[in-house]
Amino acid sequence: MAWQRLNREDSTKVVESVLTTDGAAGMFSTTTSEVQKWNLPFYETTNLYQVTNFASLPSFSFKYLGNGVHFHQLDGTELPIYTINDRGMLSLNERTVVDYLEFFFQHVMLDGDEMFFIKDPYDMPLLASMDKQSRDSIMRNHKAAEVSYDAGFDKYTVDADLYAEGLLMRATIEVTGTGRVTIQSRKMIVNAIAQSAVSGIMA
Amino acid sequence: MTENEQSGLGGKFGAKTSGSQINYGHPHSQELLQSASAVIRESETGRLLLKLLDLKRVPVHVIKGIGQSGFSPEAMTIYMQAPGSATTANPAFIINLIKGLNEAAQELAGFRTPDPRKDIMAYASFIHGRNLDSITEVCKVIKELTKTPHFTNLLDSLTELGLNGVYKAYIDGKSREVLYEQYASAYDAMRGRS
Repeated sequence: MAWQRLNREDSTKVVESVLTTDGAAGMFSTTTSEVQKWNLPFYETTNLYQVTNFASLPSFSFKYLGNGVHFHQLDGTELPIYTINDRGMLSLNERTVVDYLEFFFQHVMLDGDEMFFIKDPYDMPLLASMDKQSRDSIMRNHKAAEVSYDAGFDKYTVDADLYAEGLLMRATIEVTGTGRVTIQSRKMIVNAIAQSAVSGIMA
Repeated sequence: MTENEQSGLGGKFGAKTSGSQINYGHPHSQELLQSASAVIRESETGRLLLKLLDLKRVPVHVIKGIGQSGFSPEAMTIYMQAPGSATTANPAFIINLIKGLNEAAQELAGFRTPDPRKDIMAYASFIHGRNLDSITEVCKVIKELTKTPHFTNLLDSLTELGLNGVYKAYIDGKSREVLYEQYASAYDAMRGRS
């Protein structure tokens, strides 16, 4: 699975649909924006879209959930995702719930904190900027996600690794049938990651 | 999905849209800018940068989102992004505002961004040079905040942004060439993340 670049005609339709009509002209342009689409395995008719305006600097990039006609901007809260879910678009199973959580944590900042769900540590966004000691620590301590399903309550319980503020944690996360996500508990696995980076600066 | 169904709380900007009726304006834009400015104002260099805001010489739009923030020379506007639920500025927001203010100050001082359609190499060279200047300015502000309670969080955020190498080179008094090497390394790492 990868980003799929839309052709000019389809890109223009998407940009025109998400375009602001007030004074925010610097953000979008139909002529200089590129639109990409990503199929999400847990939605049937809804995809992830990314609109990037390469003419502005920095290249402003916004993500949306949409069906090709109407779009919800992913604004860092749960609201746009839950809105789509409540329209019956969500289809979870023991495999796709892990993909859903990875997507959820990439686009929602819980309590204002950036938190990474580690499905595969090699795909972790921060990995390239970490020092060798931190990378080794994550690789050594990572465990694959474990999923269980409670049919009575229609909810999944996922034990998985989370990374936030330099801490690698093992978390128990509950996902309901409508995609509501709650972190039930967190247990710290490694706390030396951020400290090693900061001590590197202060040395 | 139906038309006009996009939810949003609106804000001072982006309240009207076509198509999917998306409200980009952040509902807490004033609180975010005020809390960020309060921290930046504790630094002497930061106070000078904030004159751009105080004198309303450059507009700042705060957008709901988790994407890139920065100064757009095309629109002569600083676009900041923060999650829709944020009510106070986090360290990354503060760092990006300092960087955006410095870039706007450079543009206003006459260091105009060249047209990329005329010479893409000159444009790229200019942009990377400006980025390094702005990141160095961020380092200067953070260093001036060393004895404040904000310092550790700002430094952690700088590390998460991959800029710890630039900061270390800055406080060690290294040359611009060394700073540029650290910046280039951080830039490559950031590109790998996106």
